[in-house]
Amino acid sequence: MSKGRKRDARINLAALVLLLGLVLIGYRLVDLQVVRADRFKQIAEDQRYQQTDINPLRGCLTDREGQVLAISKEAYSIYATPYLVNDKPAAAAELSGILQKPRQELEEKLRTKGGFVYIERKVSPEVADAVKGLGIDGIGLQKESKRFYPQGGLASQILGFVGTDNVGLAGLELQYESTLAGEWGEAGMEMDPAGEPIPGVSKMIKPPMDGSDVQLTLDSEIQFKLQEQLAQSLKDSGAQNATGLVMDCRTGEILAMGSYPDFDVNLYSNVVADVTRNRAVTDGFEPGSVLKILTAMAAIDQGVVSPNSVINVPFSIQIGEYEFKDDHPMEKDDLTFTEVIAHSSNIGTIKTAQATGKDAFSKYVEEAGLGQLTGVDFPGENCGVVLKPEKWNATSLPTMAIGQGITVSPIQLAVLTSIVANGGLKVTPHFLKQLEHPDGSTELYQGSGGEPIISEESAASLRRILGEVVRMGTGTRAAMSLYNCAGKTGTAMKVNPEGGYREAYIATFTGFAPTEDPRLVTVITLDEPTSIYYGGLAAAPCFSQVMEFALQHLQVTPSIDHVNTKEKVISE
Amino acid sequence: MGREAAARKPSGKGKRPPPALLEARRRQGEERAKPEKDPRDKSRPSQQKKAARVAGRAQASPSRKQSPARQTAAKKDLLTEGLRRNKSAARKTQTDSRKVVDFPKRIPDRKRATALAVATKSGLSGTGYWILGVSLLMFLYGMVMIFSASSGSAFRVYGSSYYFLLRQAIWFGVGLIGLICMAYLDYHHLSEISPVLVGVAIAALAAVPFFGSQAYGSTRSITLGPLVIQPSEFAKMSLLILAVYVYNKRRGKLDEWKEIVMPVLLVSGLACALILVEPDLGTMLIAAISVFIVLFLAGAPLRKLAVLAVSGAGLTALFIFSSPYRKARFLAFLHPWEAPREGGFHIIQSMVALGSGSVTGLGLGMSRQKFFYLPNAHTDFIFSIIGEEIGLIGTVAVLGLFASFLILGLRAARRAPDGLGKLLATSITCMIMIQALINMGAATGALPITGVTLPFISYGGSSLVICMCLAGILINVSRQEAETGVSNDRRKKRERGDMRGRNRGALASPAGSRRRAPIA
Repeated sequence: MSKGRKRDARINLAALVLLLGLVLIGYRLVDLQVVRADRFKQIAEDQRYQQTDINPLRGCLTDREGQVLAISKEAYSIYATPYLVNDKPAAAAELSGILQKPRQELEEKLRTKGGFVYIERKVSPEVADAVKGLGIDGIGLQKESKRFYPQGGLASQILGFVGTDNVGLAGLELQYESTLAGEWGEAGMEMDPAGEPIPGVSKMIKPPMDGSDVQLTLDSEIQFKLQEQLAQSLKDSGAQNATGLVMDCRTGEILAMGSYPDFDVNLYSNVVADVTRNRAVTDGFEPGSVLKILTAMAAIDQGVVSPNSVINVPFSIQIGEYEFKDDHPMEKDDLTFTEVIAHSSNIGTIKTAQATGKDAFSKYVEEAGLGQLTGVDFPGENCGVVLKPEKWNATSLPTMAIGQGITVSPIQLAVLTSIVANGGLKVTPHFLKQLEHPDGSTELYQGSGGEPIISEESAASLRRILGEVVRMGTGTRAAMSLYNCAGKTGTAMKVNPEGGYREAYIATFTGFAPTEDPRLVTVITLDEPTSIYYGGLAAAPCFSQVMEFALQHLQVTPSIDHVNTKEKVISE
Repeated sequence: MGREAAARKPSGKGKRPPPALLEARRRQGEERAKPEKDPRDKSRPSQQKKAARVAGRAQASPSRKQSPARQTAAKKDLLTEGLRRNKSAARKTQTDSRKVVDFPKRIPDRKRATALAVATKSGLSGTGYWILGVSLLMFLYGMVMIFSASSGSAFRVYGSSYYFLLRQAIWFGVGLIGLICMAYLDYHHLSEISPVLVGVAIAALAAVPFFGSQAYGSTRSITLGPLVIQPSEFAKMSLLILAVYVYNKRRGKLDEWKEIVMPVLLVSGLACALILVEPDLGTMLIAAISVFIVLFLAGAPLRKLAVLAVSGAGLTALFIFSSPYRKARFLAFLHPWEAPREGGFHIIQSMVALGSGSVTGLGLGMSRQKFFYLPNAHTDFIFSIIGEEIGLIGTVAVLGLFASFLILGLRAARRAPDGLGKLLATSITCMIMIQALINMGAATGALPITGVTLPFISYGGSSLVICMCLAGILINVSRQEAETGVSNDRRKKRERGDMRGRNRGALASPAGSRRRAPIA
């Protein structure tokens, strides 16, 4: 009996101890889950919670027809958490097969200290799938977007490019960065110890706002033709660089612009910075004879000369210490003003400029926008170098009248030319046609409409004069089959950095067409052509090809009375 | 019922080889029987003289007289007795009581008896129902939490969210069979075959280092086709039964070292060593502590128990402190914040899970910590996930379930028909409770992490099957309480702590006294 009682006492003791154990666990639970709950919640949040930026989809760049020039595509970055990769050589070998990268380089990356290293940024979804298929521990994929330029090298200098972080670094990608980029969203995510987001618990704090699409005034077809012809003239002339642009002279819309050599944006990291420059906007040069348009503009508009005014052109004239000569002697001593411009007589132009006077000339320099930004929507515009009138010396006026001692950019030349072409208005060149916001609304570019510089009549006179340049002057090679055109040639010696000029030229042609109702302005510049260096010979044919194609492409009615078309020139 | 009692006695007799012991016990029984006028003694001579049919009736009827309610049940039993008797009469004409009561061992009769027991509802006592209910509740609770805790990682690793859930469901089927078998396999028989069970267990444990499959740096399981078995779980159970069986027989003699050590401690030591080699410190501790508790409950002197406890703890400490890694890992729970990224990581993460669950939890399926902050969230740390998803409500519910299990287990023990049943039920309850406490203690950062499962709730085939088998044994013990038919007033007396009343009651019952005789 006593034994039984003792045994039951032992059972009771055991039961008591076990119950006590349960009570202790309960006490501990209350401590953890009630008393100290907030502290542990904080620890949980500290170790798991991560605020993540969600990148918005970058807007597209399209041409005026809506053809896509730049788009953001889904891409994946491959990263590694090095300490989780067990067999590093094997992993490197497997990855190198898929990524086409040297095994050693990958293995080195896998051996880096720390918890995160990129193996490869922005690979295609196919490659990402292949990597995922390997199932290597410690290798992860990160979804990103990659900028892709479906047209390859088309308008590459204009479009520019973005960095790895999808921020515009150059060109229109930079210019419209804020519009294209959109707004970053924010999400609160909880991460597991390996840094993977825990599914189903992310909270969107602020949804990302996608970027707007930017429709450009560029015309892919004309752009292609321009780039093709620039490449051709580079080959023909032996120049180092060929730059050109096509602009609607009535509105300032830029239809095409580019330089050769060019590059494929998709491979921008592999090209030298030089070819990425959009020289038509960023490079100033001494224009030479093409600036005679400005001299003529000032003289005609001021009524100093008329197209038929006769000007005596001697062999040379002495101004100060300098003697000015024509590049080639004129056929006769007395030329009409039209002939002076058509044959590009330096002396005739200088005499006209002197007759116009410093004040009037400088006024037109300023009004035509030389030495100032044109306002084109492109980063890094070069405003050119124009000496202020008060600093002019005796030779300033005559040299500037023939396009020396002043630098302009091709886009400034195009604006100057379009003043003549469109009846006296200075337009603002631009690339932006309209914005398409992610909500579907659109915003059209509101142009300024143009600022009147010269009278309608002066412009008409100047058009006739420039038409003569192509008909019988230095620019006959610019003539086209279907359209009358007008323009001005220029052949400028390049400045020697050590002072003076050197035996290197810039051949230029700027013109518009059709002469009777101008639609487009085109500027072609060849830098240091070697075999042929006259603007009329080297640049004019390129102008002709591009202009004719552009007008046909835009379905402009061909000229009815053939004044300076190709047949006429040839028949002569 | 009476029939079962009759069946047991001779089978026990038949297996009892030492005649001296037998004689001693019989004398003891007779001594006790005299004042009580044990009906069994009356029936015995008639049994020996008359044919088997008379024996059956004579044996059955006096015992029924105690309770009129039982007499109707006894009449039903007589039907089966009759059937059996006819068969036995055809085969065996005479006379030896041993042979007569051998009959019920034959399988068809046992089956019928079992079926009858179930059909008459009295087969499962109230306690049995409750034990079954609590076990199933814990299992279902576990299933929900296993799915919640494992679906994410299962999908990542195995491609199916249901990977672990499905396996656990299959194991539950196996466990249910185990539970039913144990519930209907008389625990006396079970304890008699326990040496065989232990032999099998030790053989399986010995096979683990050679055929085992490795996981998390230790080799604990054997893969047999689709089955992954942890022999240590089985060893844990069989050691417990063996210890109960042997120490129960040696009650009163446990103040001798020889009786304590041979062979139970020796065998337990061997098994524990094999489990430790795997290494599976947690299971080893549970097995060792359980055997110790059996010794304690069986009435071993406290001084001897103290010696055992100290030496056992010393050996364990020696094992732990022999390796700096084990030492650091084992002791990390004392100061987890000193190495929050290494040794303390899992402890901290478990506490973070519990703490961030707070009172109401993050919601079912919303655990964050299961995503690789907690290793084996569906096994070792299921309790933490419960705390994170259902909060204090969920964890206290688990405590409540285990408290009910403890109470029910002890109730089954208290009402057990004999000392063996009592010891068995108490020990099983203690073992399951200890495992639960070790698991929950680790999850709450109160005990070192040893990687044991939470009984019934954690994922793990072997663990679940063994837990259900143990529950089955408890049910079996409580069933026999129902069969012996302890009347309510006696129960009350017992609850009042009147041990004499209880013992008298047991002696008054022929079945009870007959059991007691060989045991005590």
